[in-house]
Amino acid sequence: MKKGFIVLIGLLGLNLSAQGAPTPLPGVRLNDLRLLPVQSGGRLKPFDEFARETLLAITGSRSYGAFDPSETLVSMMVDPKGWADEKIIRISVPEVNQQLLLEPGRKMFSPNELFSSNAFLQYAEGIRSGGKSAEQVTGTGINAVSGKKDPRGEELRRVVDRVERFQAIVTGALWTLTPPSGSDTDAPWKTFAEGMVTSNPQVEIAGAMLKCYLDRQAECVQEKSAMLRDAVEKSVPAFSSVENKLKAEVWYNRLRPFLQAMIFYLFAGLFWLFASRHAFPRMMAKFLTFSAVFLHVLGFLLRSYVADRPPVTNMYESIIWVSLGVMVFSFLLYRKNRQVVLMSTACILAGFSLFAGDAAPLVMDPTIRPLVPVLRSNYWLTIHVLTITLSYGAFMLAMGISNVSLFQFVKIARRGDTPELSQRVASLNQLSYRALMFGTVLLAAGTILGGVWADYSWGRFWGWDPKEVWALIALLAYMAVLHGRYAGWVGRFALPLWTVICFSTVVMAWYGVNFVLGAGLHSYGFSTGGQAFVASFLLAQTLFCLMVAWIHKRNPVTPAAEA
Amino acid sequence: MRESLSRIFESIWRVLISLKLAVLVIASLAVTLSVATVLESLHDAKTAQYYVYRAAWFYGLLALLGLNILAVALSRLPWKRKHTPFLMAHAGILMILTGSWITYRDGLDGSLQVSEGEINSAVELDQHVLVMKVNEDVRTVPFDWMPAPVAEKFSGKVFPEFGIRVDQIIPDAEPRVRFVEMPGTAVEKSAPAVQVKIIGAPMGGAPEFWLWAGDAGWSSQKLGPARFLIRKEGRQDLEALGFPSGEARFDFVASEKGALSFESVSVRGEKKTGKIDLSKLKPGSPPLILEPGWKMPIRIQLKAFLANGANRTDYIPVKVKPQGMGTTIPQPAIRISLLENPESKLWLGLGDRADFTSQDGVRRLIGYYPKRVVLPFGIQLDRFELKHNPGTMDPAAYSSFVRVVDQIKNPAELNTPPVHHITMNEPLENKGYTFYQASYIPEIPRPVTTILSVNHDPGRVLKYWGSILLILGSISLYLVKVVQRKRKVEGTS
Repeated sequence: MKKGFIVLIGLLGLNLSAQGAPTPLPGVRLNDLRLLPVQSGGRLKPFDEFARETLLAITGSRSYGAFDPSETLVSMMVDPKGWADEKIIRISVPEVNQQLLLEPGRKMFSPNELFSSNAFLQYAEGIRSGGKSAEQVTGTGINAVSGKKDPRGEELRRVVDRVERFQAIVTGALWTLTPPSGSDTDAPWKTFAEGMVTSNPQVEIAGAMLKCYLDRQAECVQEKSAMLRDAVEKSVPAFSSVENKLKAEVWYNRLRPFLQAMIFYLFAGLFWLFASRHAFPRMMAKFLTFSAVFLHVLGFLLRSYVADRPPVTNMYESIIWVSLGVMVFSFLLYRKNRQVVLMSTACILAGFSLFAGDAAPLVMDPTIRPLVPVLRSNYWLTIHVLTITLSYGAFMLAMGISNVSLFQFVKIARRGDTPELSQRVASLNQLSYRALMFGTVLLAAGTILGGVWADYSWGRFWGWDPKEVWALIALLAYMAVLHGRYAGWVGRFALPLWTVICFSTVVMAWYGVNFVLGAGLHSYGFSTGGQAFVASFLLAQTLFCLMVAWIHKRNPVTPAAEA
Repeated sequence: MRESLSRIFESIWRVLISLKLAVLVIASLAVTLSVATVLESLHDAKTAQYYVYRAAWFYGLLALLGLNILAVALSRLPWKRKHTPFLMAHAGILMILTGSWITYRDGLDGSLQVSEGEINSAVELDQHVLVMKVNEDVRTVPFDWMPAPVAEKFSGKVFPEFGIRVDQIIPDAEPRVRFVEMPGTAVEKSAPAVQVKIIGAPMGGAPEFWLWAGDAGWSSQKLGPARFLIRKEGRQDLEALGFPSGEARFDFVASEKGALSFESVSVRGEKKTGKIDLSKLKPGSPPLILEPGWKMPIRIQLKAFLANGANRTDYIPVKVKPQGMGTTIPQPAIRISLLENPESKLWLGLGDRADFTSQDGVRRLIGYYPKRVVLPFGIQLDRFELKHNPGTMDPAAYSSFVRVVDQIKNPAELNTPPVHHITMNEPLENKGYTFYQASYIPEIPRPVTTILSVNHDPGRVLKYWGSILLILGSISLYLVKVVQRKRKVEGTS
């Protein structure tokens, strides 16, 4: 395992004299390095994105400390020994610490700490030799003997992968540097390590740049990286068609529009709370909301432009779209009702959704990836998925408003059913009912469009696939509520209560099928993680509902007020 | 009497048109479906289909929903203009349900596998049949899959017209081959077989395997730099078999009289021969160890020898849940016995067949196959194409270039029909059948066998129109509500 470690050092002839921990090079401008084209993960991307994805895969975060992501990779290549002592390898499952006899409770370890663990070396060997010897670890995270999901085995495999990826960076085996000489845009590029064997201009310039970095000469690094960018760009087939996309992607990465939108949303939500009484908070709230939505839409468009498709193919992307949906519906409803509590709820929901999307990049991978073959029908994919996830936005808004409505019943139980509270409940329920209507129409349409898409590309309108079945279950659940309301069984208390409960079917259709059930044809979206987070959300909702229902039952409101 | 009957009808009618029934049916559908998805997650899609999606009671539930909707719509007679959105939405659901029923009854949904240069017209469905062939007379009878708990209680089923009885079914089975000694008079193919265990193999462990002279696939086994082989005396010469020289060889040689000897060749070409004392194989005697005389420290333990061995395939249940593409999905297997001779037991995996001669001297062929439907035309695959994402081995798109061949038996016309390009989202339609690119069989260096999904759906039109009605209806239901509310607000102010 340690062998591969020394290769780069020998090949570049760099004498390593790392003094202490690696530090960023002050005053270096990295623009050219960031924009350097790299072929990785099945598409062409800027070095900046390549660096962020690599760091995510190693450390579980898209950047490391005070370093710029691109600089981190360069620094790793010139100072492997220094980085081998940095705590950069993440272990997220505590049982793995135990298994590898590592310090319990810690999440980050240095490569050297792992190399000095015999247990780790043995497991790594076992995993490489096909997963038969070491605890039956397989690539799918599923135990080959029991057929069960095996989070510990999966994490162990990931830890080995993280270490190997670090080694691959250090040895230049991961950095695709030299485009093929032909005009075939799909041909694989040569990596830095491969290029060193035969030597070519790109490799020579890259080596010179690394040397400058080792000597800590900022100017020289800038000069060489500009040369390198030029040399690579020249040999990329049809580069002019992708040039702007690379620039947009770097901008998107550095701007982090969704993170900014999230902060704006959360502040806007706070200001909306006070907006009914004073003019200044209202102004602020409006300004913040518009800024947030602007950033949100900008990010959405940038991402669509970079990926060449609307961002709706995994959990992370759907969160972006659903939270945008929440805002759209809140605007539609606000235009009529002018309820500040609606905007406050919507902003907080959107803010928290974006936060959840941003908080766990290992669970919800923000990486832009090429589509799997079944999804390559942009038109129907777009229509079907956008419609269905938009309905989730409507249901989420209805859920938020209904929670506020339920909260009014706690007040009613305490203060009695004042006309003011009664009026507020009525208007809140009206809002969530509207949102429910939006949602059910969109969900019905989206589910049917899913059938149309399936019929169009697989010849099967409906195949009882778990994802489509859960969309149907959510639809049926909301249908039952709407019909119940029509029949007069679902009153002013039951409506918000059931709206909140029914949202769990949306959670199941949206998250549960992919992350919990893990069965069926929509397997391209399957993943693990986040169970604790989602479960605690559902648990908190259930407890809240039970509590309110109990309070409501203990203080029966007079039938006259109920009607 | 008549009065009470009409009263019963009236109360049934009242139940049918009640919203209570609607909410109840909707809610129970939701609960049922969620249970089905959990069932699918814990087991597999087949299990969920067996218990829910293809179960009679589930169709009953859907029918009840349809009946309820129909009754409610009829109860609004005479219809007025204000009923239009309501009627549209509910008629849409009825049409979708009816369309689905037609699809279920008359539709075809299967898969067609074609390799490059070949023609196929037999569509495989995911139902299973028993096929019996007596002389030229072929008959089939359905015998469907069942999940493990049902299979455990399965007490056997007699097919008198075939003269067999299915004793047992394993829903998810894996084949296990064993060898048995046949009496010299048996018609079945038999040949010498040995069971050996290699001791001291460099790759660790002590591999154990059978060698059988009856089939080229069984007669030799390569293990690292050494090859182990069984052959009949005087049959093949060492080099004549075409195995590369430079391998170490260990040959078991069986004579006609039932004696066994060995010939071994080392990597350097040093030969060694010896007789094997079969009396040492008797139970209770110490292990029979053979020294090949190679430089590698390998010894061979002979565990069994059958002068007239025949292979038997048994099936054992497997528990592993299939995951994703590429993993082999376990197939079902059945054990049958002949009615005229209940002692004759035989395993058939899905896709297997066996032939036997019954007491009246008639040769019969029995097979256990996926149900097949033969199309009125053939599909010929010219070329299969697989594209990857740049710089990776991940498939980006795959497609098939096919021709529709009407006269399967006339090869002269093969090259005249035009080529159609079937891609992921561009199906081919011909005579009411639609062909979709579904999958392929992964092969190295490149896949040459495509899997098309074949579909014939007479309910499609109804489903599509129903969908349109449902969507338009529910949108207008919503708009009507908005308008009503506006009027109300205007009226009060």
